[in-house]
Amino acid sequence: MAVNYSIRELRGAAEELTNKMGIPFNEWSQSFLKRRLLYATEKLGIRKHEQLLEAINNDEQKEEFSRHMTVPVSEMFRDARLWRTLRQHFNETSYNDTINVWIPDVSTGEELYTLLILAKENGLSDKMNVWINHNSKSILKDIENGIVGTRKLDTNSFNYKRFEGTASFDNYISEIEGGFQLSNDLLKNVNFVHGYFLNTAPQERMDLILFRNVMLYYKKDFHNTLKDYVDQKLKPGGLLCVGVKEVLPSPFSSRFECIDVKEKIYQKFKVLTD
Amino acid sequence: MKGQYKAVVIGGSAGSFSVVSRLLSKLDSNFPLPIILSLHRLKHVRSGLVEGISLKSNLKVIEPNDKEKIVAGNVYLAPSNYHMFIEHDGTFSLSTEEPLNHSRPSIDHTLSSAAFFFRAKLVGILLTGANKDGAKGMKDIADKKGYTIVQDPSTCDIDTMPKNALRIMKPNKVSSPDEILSFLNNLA
Repeated sequence: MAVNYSIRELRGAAEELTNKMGIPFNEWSQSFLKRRLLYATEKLGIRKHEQLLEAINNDEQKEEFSRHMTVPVSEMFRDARLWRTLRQHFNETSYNDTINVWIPDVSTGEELYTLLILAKENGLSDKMNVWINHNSKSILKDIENGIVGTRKLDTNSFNYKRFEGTASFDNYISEIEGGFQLSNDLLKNVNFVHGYFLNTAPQERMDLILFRNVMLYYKKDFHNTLKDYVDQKLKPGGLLCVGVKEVLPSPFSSRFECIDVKEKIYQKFKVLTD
Repeated sequence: MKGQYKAVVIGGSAGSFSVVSRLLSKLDSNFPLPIILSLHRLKHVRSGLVEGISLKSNLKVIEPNDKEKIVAGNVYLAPSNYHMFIEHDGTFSLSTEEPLNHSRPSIDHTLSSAAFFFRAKLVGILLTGANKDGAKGMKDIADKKGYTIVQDPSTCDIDTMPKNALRIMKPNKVSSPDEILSFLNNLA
C-alpha cells in the first residue's frame, strides 16, 4: 500500500504539500520526492494522495510523515578525511568567542555526534554551541537520547578509526536492547530546533555550517536560494561544508573560496567587497 | 543499430572491473553514446576505481557530481557511497538514501531510473557479480522495450547476478564479454 505518483500527479502533490506544510516540496528534485513519498505512504499505509492530505491534518500522522520523509541513513565520521581536516582547522584557529555550528538538516544525528566527539577530544566542548534542525520531533528526541544508527556500530567504529580519534569508540557508547546508545555526556550546548531549516534558522551567525548532502535533494534551480540562505547565516571567515559530490552553485567566487576541493569545504571571505 | 540508442548502462559487481576495463580499452574512441556504469565498490574508498578504469579506457571516465548533465561519449561511474539516478531532465541525481540489496551505489536504482528516462533508447548490460542487485533494473529496461544483454553465466567470475536476472526477465542476448564488445562497437 503506497501512492505511486506519475510525474504530472507529483507536481500537483508537491504544490499541495508545500502549501499545507510550509516546506518547499515543490523544490525537491522530482525523482527524490517520488521515492520519499512512495516510502512514506507505504509506511503510513496510505493508498491515495487525498488520504495523505487528510492524514497530515492530524498532528500525530504529520509527525510520522515527517519522520518517514527523512533520509535516515548517514554514518558517523562519513568521509573521515573531512573530519580530520576540520579538527586541524579548529586547532589552528584561535577563537576569541564561542564556536557556533549549525547543522540545518540533521538527518538522524550521526553528524552531530561526530562533531561532538571531535569537540570533546580537542577540548572544545565548552566553547562550541551547536544548533540542529529537524521537522520531526520524534527524531530530535531520538537524537537527544543518543539513539543513532543502532545497526551501524561496525561502520561507525571503523570510520572512527579512520578519523584517528584519540580514544576508543567504545568509550562513547553503551549497549541497549536492540542496539547502542551514544553517551549523553557529549550533549553540551546543543540546541534542538523543531522545524524546517528555511523557516526556523538560529538568530546567531555561524563559524561552521554542515550542509553536506542536502542540496542533492533539491532541484538545481533552487541551489542558489539555499546557498544565499546559508551564506547569510555564516560569519565572515566561517566554513561551509557541502557533500563531496555536490558543487556550490556559481557565482560564489566573490564571497567564498574553496579551501579543500576533495572535501568540498568553502570558506567565506573575511572581508567582503560587495 | 546505429542511431537507435541514446545511452548504454552497465551494472556489475564481483569480477566486473576486469570486464569493464577490457570493454573500454577496445571500444572505438569515437563511441557516440554515454556509458553509465554502476559497479559495486567499497564505500569508504573514494579514489582509485575511476583512475583504474581510466588507465586503459579510450573514453573519458568521470565520477559525476550531483546534477551533472549526461554527455555523449563520456563514461560515468557511480561514486562510492552514493546511489546514482538519472533524473527526469537527463542529469545525474546522487543520493545517500538507504542501501538497496546491501549496496550503495545500487545497480537497480541506476538501471531502473535510466529505463524510465531513456525507455526504448537504452541498452542495459548486466555483468558478473555475487548479488541479486541489477535483476529488477534489467527487467525495468526490458519492460520499457530497451535492449538488454546479460553476461553469459559460464563466462562470469561469479554468476549469481546474471542468474538472478535471468530468473525474472528474458534478455535480448546472453553474451560473452567479447560478444558484448562486438555489439557495442556496432553501435559506433
